[in-house]
Amino acid sequence: MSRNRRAAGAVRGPASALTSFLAGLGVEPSTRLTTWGNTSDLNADGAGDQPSLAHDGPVIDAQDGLDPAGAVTAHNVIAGPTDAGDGTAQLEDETRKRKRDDDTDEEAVNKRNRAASINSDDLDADNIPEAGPSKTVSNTKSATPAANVAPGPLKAVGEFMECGQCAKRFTVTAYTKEHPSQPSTFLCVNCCYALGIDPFAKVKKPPMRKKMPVQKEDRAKVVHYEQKKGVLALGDLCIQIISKSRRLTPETAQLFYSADRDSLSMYDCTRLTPDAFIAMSKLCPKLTTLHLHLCGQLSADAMTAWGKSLKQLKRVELFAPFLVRKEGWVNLLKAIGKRLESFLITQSPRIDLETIKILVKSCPNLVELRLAEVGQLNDDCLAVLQSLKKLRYLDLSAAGTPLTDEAVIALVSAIGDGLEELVLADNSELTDAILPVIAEHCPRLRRLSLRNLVELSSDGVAEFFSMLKAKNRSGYEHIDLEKGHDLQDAALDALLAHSGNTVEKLNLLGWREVSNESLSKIAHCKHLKELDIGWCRQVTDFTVKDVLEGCNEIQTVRVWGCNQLTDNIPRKKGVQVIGVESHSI
Amino acid sequence: MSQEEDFVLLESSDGYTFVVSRKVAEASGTLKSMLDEEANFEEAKNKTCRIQQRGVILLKVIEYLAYKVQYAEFNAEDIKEDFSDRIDPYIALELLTAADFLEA
Repeated sequence: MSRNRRAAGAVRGPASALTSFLAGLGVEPSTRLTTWGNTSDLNADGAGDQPSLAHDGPVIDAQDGLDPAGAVTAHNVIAGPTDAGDGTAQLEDETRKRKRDDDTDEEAVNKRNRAASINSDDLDADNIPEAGPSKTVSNTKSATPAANVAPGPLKAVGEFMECGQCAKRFTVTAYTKEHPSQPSTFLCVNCCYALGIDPFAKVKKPPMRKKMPVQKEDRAKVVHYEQKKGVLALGDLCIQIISKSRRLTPETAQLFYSADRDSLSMYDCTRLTPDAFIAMSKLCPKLTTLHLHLCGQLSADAMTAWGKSLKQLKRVELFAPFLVRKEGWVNLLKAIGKRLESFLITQSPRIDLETIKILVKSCPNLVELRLAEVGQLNDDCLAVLQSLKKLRYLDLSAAGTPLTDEAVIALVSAIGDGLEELVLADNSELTDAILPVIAEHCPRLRRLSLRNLVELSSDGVAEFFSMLKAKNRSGYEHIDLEKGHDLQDAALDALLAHSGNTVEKLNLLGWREVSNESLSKIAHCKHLKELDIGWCRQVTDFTVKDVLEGCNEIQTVRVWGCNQLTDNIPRKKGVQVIGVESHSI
Repeated sequence: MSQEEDFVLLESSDGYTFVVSRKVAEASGTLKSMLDEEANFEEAKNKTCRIQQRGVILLKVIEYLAYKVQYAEFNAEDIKEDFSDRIDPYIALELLTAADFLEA
């Protein structure tokens, strides 16, 4: 606002902080408007605009022979100085305008002219309200950013509203447009021109149209803002625990279904019928993770229905889906296709070579694969799996036809690079020959289960861990060598030398000849949480004592079949020692 | 005597007794009203509550009450310690009846 004006005793509206600040520094607009649009500067601008004006609508404000574009410039200016304070709003406006202007070149030219005029006239904003001293209210508004007009619904035709851009009052008509950047505020006709909107365009409601798909996506997503304090009631905790070990029926299972649920784990589905599984897929369409235990009645039809209705499924974990026939698997796999990341199946007699071929072909993004206790799994299937290069988790335990060294070696050398967890349990034909290959080709491996591989020799395992150490591979977190009946001190020493510092879960069940001295070295495993030394016949109270004292993080020790343990076995707070013979008699 | 230092005695049906700080005991609605000094119940006078539950159950309830008091001012999502890990499924049902009675 100019000092000249103040000196002249003219009425002055409240100035924005920025304007006052600039005025204090002596910065003033170079050109001023007396009434809006009535300066030579603007006129020049307006004249430039006139020929390229895009709209054909009637020119509302023809006063002083000024064209609407000129008028518009003046209005834009209103928002200028204050918006400069918070920056982004105006900028966004500009970019949006630009986008819209891409439609026609001439409009783009028009816009640039306008933008230029805005820059030069920024500081004139406060001039506008002076049109009428009585309008103090709207004066205040016009000096504040456009965002200050309270958003609200569009009023009925004929009523007054305040413009979302210039805060002037205007009459609502059938054509009134919403502000493009500030939802729920509306524009007067002049501001429509300013923002490059044709005020008399048919009511197509472009912003509404833009919003629709967004709303649709969000509709099913329930956001909870409630913040709960304190812990869950003890009763609720108990109910959770009780219901976890309870058999679900088609009626009770529904309690766990909801449209916004994205993961579902049910532990005992023995009583759920195929129809119940289909209902589940319809009632929980947003599921990405599905984990069902004991789902014996799951049928091929239900699988097909899942494929159709679970459009976001990424992870499937099923235990015991015996009845699903081949076509059920095929339909599901084809429907999920590239989305599938985890396919974890335990116990299925129907998955065969062809199913696995389809799995590999249609689901190239698999990260986790479990085909445990699959009756028809054999060496030929393993050859097919070689193209799943993204696998991080692979479980091929208890194949129907025991896997042979050659097939496993070929597979591990093909996909070993990414593997973090490998489970080859219960494949009785596997021998030491696979170990060097695992050491060689699996640099990222952290969890290894070679449970019940009876052919493994102590020297072979010892060599494996020495090789890992020589290659400087990081230590393993989980090691399961259960039922390695022939494994002895050499194997355990090498294991501890390599993974002693990292191992969290160690299973040595059935290492019948391993000596007490070697076992006591387990005490150096700093991070060990679970230990199983069942049927290691040399274990004594002192072995357990060493472990309890040495391993700070230990939680569970299993000692079934360690018959030298006595009632005097040491205890430690927070640690369960399970399976002491004398305790159970 | 300040509320903080006050202790009460809880007795189970099979004769186990637990000395518990009043603050912890009063996390249970039922115990709170039993021990309310203005109500003039026998329990409030003797500072002894007899609970018709087995010792193991009462022990777990008290453990929970301490846990509840500890996290009373925490937002639910900030609580990392899960009490359900400490409940043996074998006592869950009995614990549920106790929790219901004690308004824990």
